[in-house]
Amino acid sequence: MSVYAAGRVFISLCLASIVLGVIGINLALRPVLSVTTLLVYPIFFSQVLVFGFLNFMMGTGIALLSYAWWLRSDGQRHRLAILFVLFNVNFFVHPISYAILVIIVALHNLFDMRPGSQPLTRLVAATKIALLAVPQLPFWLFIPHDTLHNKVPFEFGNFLNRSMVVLSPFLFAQDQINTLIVLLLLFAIGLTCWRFKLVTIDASHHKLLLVLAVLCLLVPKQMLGVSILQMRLPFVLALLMIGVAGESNLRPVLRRALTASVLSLALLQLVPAYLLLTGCSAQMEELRLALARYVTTPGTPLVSINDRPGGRCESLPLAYANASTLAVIESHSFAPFLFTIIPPVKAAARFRDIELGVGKPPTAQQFFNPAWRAADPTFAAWQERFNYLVWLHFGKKDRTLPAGLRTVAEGSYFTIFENPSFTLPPP
Amino acid sequence: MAQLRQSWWQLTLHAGLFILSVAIVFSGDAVLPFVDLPNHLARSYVIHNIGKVSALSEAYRVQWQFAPYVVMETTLSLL
Repeated sequence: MSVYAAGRVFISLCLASIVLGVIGINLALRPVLSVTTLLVYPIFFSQVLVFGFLNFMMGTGIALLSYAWWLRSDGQRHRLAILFVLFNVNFFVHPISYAILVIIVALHNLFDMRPGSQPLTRLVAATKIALLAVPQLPFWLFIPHDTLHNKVPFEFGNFLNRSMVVLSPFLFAQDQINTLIVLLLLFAIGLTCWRFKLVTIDASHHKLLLVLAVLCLLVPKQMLGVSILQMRLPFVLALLMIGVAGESNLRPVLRRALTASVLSLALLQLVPAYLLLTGCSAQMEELRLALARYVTTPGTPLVSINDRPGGRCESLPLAYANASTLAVIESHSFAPFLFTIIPPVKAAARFRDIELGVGKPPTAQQFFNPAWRAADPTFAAWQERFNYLVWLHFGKKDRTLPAGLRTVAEGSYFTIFENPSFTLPPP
Repeated sequence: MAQLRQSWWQLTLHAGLFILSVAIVFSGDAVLPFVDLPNHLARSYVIHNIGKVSALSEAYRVQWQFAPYVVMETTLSLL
């Protein structure tokens, strides 16, 4: 199977796990499957998928399935042992989906509203769940992180930095203020509904709504520059569907309004999917074919620079950032921005000193600025280090090019240059 | 099973939408333009082919470790 087909199979597996998780939770809570669980499909084609966070998508599916199993397995033997295994599995899939699963199950126990449940018993049960998550914590320290070019403060640092995940709602920066305003508004609406008895929250609602509130509070300040509302959307909306679906404890008008809002939000997710599949996909294919045809020396190092894209894909400015990495597949090139903290592929000895972090190529604005290049050991001497330069200019070619480059391919939105003075270092 | 029998038409809709969604994923050109996807695919390709292609073994090394984020690369390299 080609690696491109394998990627599509994996995306389908992500979808299957999320759908089964949503259905599983719904059937664990009430006997009939709610029609609002169908919202999982537009939600799947969300910004999270657009950003290609596929480990997180799979982790979300596993977390949903694990929570569905937890709801159904009340009173079973070895329940905690199995949960511990599920925690471990989810941790190695994606640490954030793992953290969400731990929080949900712990809160589920902490706010167990069944008759006769005692506060102390609930606290002990939640603490047991939290303790099950402790053995994974040392592994945070083993997550490799790049220091070179790693300028995102939260991103992939040490354990202390990771505590910012929890503190982040109180660290106002960038879109964090907007997120906080939205959360305050939601809280005010919820409080008003409760005060005027517009909503009667039953036991299962109570738990789920609390989970939602905590999920919203656990907003990382930044995740690759992506808002948390995008990052968490599949998970939050999947739970929201379950919380809203088919319940009759809301006043009819409010229920219809709420359902319409959730439905609109879900359908909005189809916009990026439409843009991608009708426009960006063909443009990506054009670059892939050019890389295959014109980047001809196996093992040759290649650097990409990216101007902000325009046109119909303007809302997806990062869509092409990693596209030139396809030269690794098509031409067996060396692409330093292939490396992120994601293991296990690293640069071999001859390229180790030009390994980049965080998986992001420089922008054109940075690269064409001599002062920026001079401050960077990799790009100050870029003509000794890279054989090919892929410039994603999107038709805006008004920059002064570095001297000595030879154009080898012109695409509709990119140019591939060769650096004739380059010599491939010995293995 | 009784639960599923009561929800048969919802499940039918789920099956239809699931097939439609998978068809969308499998339609179009070779590369789906998702931001991180090229990097995921390239890493998986390197893992699968590093022992077979000398240009890859001279440019990359594979260093497994106990760390998150490995499920996609592992799965794809097996496929």
